[in-house]
Amino acid sequence: MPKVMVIDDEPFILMMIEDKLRRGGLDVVTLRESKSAVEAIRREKPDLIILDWMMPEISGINICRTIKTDPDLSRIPVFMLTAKGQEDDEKLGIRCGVDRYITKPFSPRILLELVLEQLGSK
Amino acid sequence: MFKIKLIYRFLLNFLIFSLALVLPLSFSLRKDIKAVFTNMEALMENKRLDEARVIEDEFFRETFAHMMSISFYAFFLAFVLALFSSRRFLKPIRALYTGAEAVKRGDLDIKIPVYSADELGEVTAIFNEMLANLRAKTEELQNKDTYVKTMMDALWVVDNNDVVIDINPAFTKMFGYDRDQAVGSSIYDFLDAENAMIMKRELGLKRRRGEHSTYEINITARDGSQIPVLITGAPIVRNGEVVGKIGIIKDFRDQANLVKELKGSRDYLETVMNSIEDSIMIINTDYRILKANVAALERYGKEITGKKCYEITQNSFRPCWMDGEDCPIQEVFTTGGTCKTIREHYDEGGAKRYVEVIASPIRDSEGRIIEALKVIRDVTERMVHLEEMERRNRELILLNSIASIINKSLKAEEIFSSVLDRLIGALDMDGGCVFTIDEDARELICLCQSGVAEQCTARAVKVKLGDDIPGRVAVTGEVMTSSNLDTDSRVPVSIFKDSKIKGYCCIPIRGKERILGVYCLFKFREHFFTMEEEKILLAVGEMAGLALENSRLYEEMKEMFVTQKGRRLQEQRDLLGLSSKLTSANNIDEVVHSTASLIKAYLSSDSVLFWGKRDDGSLALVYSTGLEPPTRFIRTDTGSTEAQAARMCEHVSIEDIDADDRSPFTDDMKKMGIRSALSMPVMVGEHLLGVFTSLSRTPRRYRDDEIHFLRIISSIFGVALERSRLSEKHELDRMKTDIISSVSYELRTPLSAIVGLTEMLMDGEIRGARAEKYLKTVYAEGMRLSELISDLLSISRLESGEEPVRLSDIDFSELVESVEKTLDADIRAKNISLVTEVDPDTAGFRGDRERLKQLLVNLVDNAVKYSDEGCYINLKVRYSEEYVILEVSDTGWGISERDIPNLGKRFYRGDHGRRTKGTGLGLALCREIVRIHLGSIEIKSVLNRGTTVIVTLPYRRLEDA
Repeated sequence: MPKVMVIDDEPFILMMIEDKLRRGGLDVVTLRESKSAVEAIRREKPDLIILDWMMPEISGINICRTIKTDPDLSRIPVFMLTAKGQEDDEKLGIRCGVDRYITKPFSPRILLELVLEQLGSK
Repeated sequence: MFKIKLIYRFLLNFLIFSLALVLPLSFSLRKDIKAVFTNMEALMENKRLDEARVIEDEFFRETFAHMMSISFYAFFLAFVLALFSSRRFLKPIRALYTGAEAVKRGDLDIKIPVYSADELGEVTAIFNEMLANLRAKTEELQNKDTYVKTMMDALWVVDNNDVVIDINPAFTKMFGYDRDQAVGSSIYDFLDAENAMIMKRELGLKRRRGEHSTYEINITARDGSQIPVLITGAPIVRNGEVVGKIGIIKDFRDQANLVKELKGSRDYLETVMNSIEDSIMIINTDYRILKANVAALERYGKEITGKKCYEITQNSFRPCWMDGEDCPIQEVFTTGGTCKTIREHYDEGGAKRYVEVIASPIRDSEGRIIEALKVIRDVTERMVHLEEMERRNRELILLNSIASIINKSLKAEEIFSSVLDRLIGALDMDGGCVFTIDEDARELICLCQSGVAEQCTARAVKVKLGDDIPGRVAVTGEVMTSSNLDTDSRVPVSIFKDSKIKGYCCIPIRGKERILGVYCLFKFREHFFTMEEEKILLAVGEMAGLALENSRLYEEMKEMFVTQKGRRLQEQRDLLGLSSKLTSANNIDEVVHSTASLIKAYLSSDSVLFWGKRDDGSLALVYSTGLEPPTRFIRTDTGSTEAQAARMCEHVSIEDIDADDRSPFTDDMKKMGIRSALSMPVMVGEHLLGVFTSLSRTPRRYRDDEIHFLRIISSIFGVALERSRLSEKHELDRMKTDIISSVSYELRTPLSAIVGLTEMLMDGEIRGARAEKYLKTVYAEGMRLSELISDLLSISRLESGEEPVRLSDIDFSELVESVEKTLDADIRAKNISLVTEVDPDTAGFRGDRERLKQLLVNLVDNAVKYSDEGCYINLKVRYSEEYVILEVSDTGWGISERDIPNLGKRFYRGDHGRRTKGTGLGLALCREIVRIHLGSIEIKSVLNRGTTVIVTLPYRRLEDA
């Protein structure tokens, strides 16, 4: 079963995504803080990561940069889930290697479809 | 002819054959006759006559009979032979005949054999050749016919009377008329009246000239429908004469639709163009305006289409690049790129407008630039603002540089020649001179000059007080400016007039007590001195006065006034410091603060206030320093010194309120113990910006030099204030954009919960207890959203001052109770002990009850939110002589050191933001509420120990102004 890791500081977002992805037949690991994110990713070796941008301590974009520059982790697709809806933010995200940029509010159904599509195409 | 020849030929043959047969016969006959005659001669010699006679008779008889039969056979044979040889001659003729018959039938695929090499053979060969040609021609004709038949376009052939003489099948297909119906009809039978007219005109015109023609027309089909067609007509010319006309009729229905669609998209384009507020023009390579949108037509007039663009925008008769300007249109045509620039345009009245021009190329299908699109946006207002700012900057820099010149030296001559040079350069003058007053001789003596003609210098070394312009200015102290001395009726005679000087100004150099001299600037051309220039010149005059006095003091009383000198130097340094500070400051508060502090220090006053002039003309306190408590709600009325100063645009001073029968002070000021005041208006040109007031608790008479100093500072301050207002306007626009983008960001997170969770609920995936949890989250996030919006609205209302402050007497015991009640549920839920303590001395504090409750609820709510269960919260309200102090302390999580400076920033949520829900607006709102109560807020916190928030609100016994 493919494993998806969700990192967000809003508990309800974690709950919502976890419920939705589990129903879609995926294994889900959630993390509520960003400090230990990279460490957890190395440990869990997920097949896909869903990241919030704005988190205290380490921002999602920095986590993404770290993942994408690490040869062991760079192949893991990263979805950025964020309330930053401006075009420049999205461009920055894409430059940092984000595979898909999803702005809040979002539909869990579409998120699941996108995740499955990404996992299927790999 | 041919028959005769045939008979002749037959006869000839017959004759030849006859001769050929008869000749040998006649030879044998001759031999017989000879034998008979020999025989007869012998007989006759023998006299045997009878016998001879018998022989003779017999001979003749025999010969005759013989000859008869032989001749008959010979002739018969000749006849047969002649007939036979004639048959050979008949054969090719028959072949020719058969051939001709076949051709007549239309069979061209035959070839006639050539039997002889005679004329007949030649004829046959020619006949064959003819047949071959005929065959080729027929084939060609058949091909052509096929082409015509298979042609997609309809075709008609018309004679000179416009009667159709032929059509092709496509015609039938297109219009439904059979060939039989069409042929013989007039072409006008196929057209309605309107189209018939078009056709008549076309035909009449073109046929006369015998030209080809192409025209669009509608032909009426058999079913009555009108079919749009394009007819290409050509005259049929035979033997140099036009005998008819052939027309190829192209179905134009598709094209007509295309044209309609094209028109539709053009209309759409036009609508788009017209809905843009900026002027848009399409300009071709001739600089001719092909098209303009409504905005352009309204802006530049209805008739601009077809005119040249430079006629419209520049009032010029040739392209502006010819005058050496950068023409964006020309650039587009030469570089092919888009060009954006800010230009000066002139409207019909000749007034200058600044416009931002964006020009971009319009290319045809092959990529050639055929036209340019020009978008013109009027940015005059913006540019005027910028220009204004630049001008103010220049003025400040000028004043600054002059202040620094004055500060550098104490030698009057050195100072004035530098100042003069600087002024001449800055104001683009041709020259100037400085005079000082010699009191004893009652004369003005030229101290230094620049750019003055020699004969004038000689005469202008000394001027009697009251004489000429400088003399009069020195006496009256009034500035004198003239745009053209020649035509100025106020100046009947002047040495400057004789020197061909036109633009002229003369400014008094004011010392502290009297006028010390004058200085003049002039130009040999006309020059109109603006209010701003005059204002600067006056300020320079006053600074120069200071400098001159300083230099005199320095010279004359070097030792006696050592302390005073120090003070003057300080004064100048302060001025210099202030003016350089103001040059760099863009923030009004900073500008006011620096200026007020300087005034306070210089005048040794107890308090300095700055009153800003409001739009309705009244004065409002903007800044105060040295007042206890700091207040903003001092009333001002028409009798106050600042109101008087504002009205008269002149300084007003009160030496001692007790000795003055006027009562310019309000009760609260008296209560503060104010005894004396000096108010100085802050002016930019004739425009009043506000008033500075210096207050003292002791009676005092402000010295002239102090008033003088205050005036200079006020004028420098006025320029800086004006400038910072201009730049603040830009700043405000930027802040608005920032706030909008951060607000939209903050709304998205709670919206995610509402959208995402409800979607999953609606999909029926979540049931039972889980569903309840989902619904609770949705509700909580919805509440958070609503809180966010109401907090935002509150802040913006408070900030904009839209909502008035509703003052009432506050009963803090009641207020605290109501706060407790509001938060009761949360407090119980966390098992928190809330201890409240209200000082019983409620001395009639006045404030906005609703706002204060909001403040306390927010503070206590924060304490509850950022604490563990079972902690303690303490709410205290204390009174003092001048303040009410509200204190909320808790034993909660505390705030980390790095978060403290950011508290109260909108949407800022520190380390604990993760652990709790919130908008990040609570403290920002609290700050606003404290601000409108003129109070202050202080936050002390130790991480993991607890937080104390102290709000200090000044006591108010006054009604809101």
